[in-house]
Amino acid sequence: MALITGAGRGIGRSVAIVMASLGADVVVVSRTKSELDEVLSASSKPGLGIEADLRDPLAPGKVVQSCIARFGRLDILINNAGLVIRKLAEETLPEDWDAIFALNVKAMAEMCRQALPHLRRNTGASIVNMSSITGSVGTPLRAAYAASKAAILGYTRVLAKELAPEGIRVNAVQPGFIDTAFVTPYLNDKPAAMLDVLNHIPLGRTGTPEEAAWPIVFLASSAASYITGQTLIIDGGWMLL
Amino acid sequence: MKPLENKVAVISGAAQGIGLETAHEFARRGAIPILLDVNRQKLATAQESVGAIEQRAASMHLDVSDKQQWLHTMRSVFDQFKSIDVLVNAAAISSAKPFEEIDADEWDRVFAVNARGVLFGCQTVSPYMRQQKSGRLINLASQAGKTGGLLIGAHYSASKAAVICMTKTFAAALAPDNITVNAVAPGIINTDFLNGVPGIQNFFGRIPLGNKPGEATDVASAIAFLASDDARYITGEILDVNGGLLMD
Repeated sequence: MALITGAGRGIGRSVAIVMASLGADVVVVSRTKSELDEVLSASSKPGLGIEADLRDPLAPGKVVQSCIARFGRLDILINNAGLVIRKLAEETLPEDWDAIFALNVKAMAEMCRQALPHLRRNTGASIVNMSSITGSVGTPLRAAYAASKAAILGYTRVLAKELAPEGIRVNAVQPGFIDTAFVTPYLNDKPAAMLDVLNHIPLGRTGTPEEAAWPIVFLASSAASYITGQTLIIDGGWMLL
Repeated sequence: MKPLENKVAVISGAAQGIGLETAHEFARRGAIPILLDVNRQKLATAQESVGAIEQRAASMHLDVSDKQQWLHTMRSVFDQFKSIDVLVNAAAISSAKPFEEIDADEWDRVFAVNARGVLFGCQTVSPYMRQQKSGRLINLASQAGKTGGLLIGAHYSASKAAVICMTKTFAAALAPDNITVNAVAPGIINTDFLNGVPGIQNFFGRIPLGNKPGEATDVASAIAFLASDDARYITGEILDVNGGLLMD
């Protein structure tokens, strides 16, 4: 039984669809009802959609409660919900920091905290957190976002150490340039910028949401049962150049 | 359709340990495993056990430090099976001794197998994969290659650091032809290899997941993932399989 945040679009949506196709009961969380309806209808197994804004500190608790009320259990948590702000560091205001960290980091941590009592009831429970290559490399115009993605890695390692005695695994992924609303709209009408990006990717193309989803599903699964505290880079080789 | 259905998957060091378990895992997923090893006796036994899962499995004697043998053997594989889809470089040697006691010959021998063997393997199969415009190269690195594993032998650890670097170099070189190159970096894994590392048991308590070594199947699973279509946007990556012993 898998709970996926930010599942209305992009990578989160793909993870939900892949997991449903593998027979999992899936709970998808998004702020946008129409997107929830779409991902549920695209899934091969009926799931549960929860409309929620995770920046509300009470939302994670309510989301987990709804999940348990419906399915009685929680095995896999995919913390995918996130937002990006594109500004120079010197123009990034205190409220920008608050906005980014409220969703990307604090909501992620609160989801873990709320899910834990339920995760520890099942063997093989695991958590996968969405970081980014931006968490490791310095991307201009992403100061707060990069800091939040790096924060996710630090948190992931600590949680992995703390939960290892209970057999709960915690890992992260660092996608590169994936075709989602985070990336594509900003490059589509800028051929020079797109060319720049493609020249920096050894595989010569951006990744599809599925290509980012499959490794997340692997890390969440028992095929990765000796893997914890790790981060898996999914970037077509971007970091090599 | 099985995940690796009909993929021709060559594995060096396949007669024991992680290499053998990888051959089993590949066979279970529908691949045609080609087992390579320098030990003929163990190779025959391995062939039987993998062949019981996948009857198309084949095995060939190979000293990975010999480029001519690589060329000859891969030509045979290609002639027989018409493609080479995956290469897993699992062959490795070591001896646990203080670094002060490693002489030039032993250093060279360890590098000849562990590092040059990977170079020769990748050099030999990449032309076939370039022609196919597809392929997977998966190298066995090691946590020791990142942390400088003193207990397992400085030459072994250094050779595994070389494997990590080569993985990235080859990934950049081969990506334009849709060939991915990745490595797994196992931590402490329960195979005969551990018998050659006295004192390793003292580290078990530091392993977060269960305070015990992983099994060869844990590493084989990660290798099988990297060989699959699910990993096709991953290249130049070093995947740590270590129960949380190292988080970097």
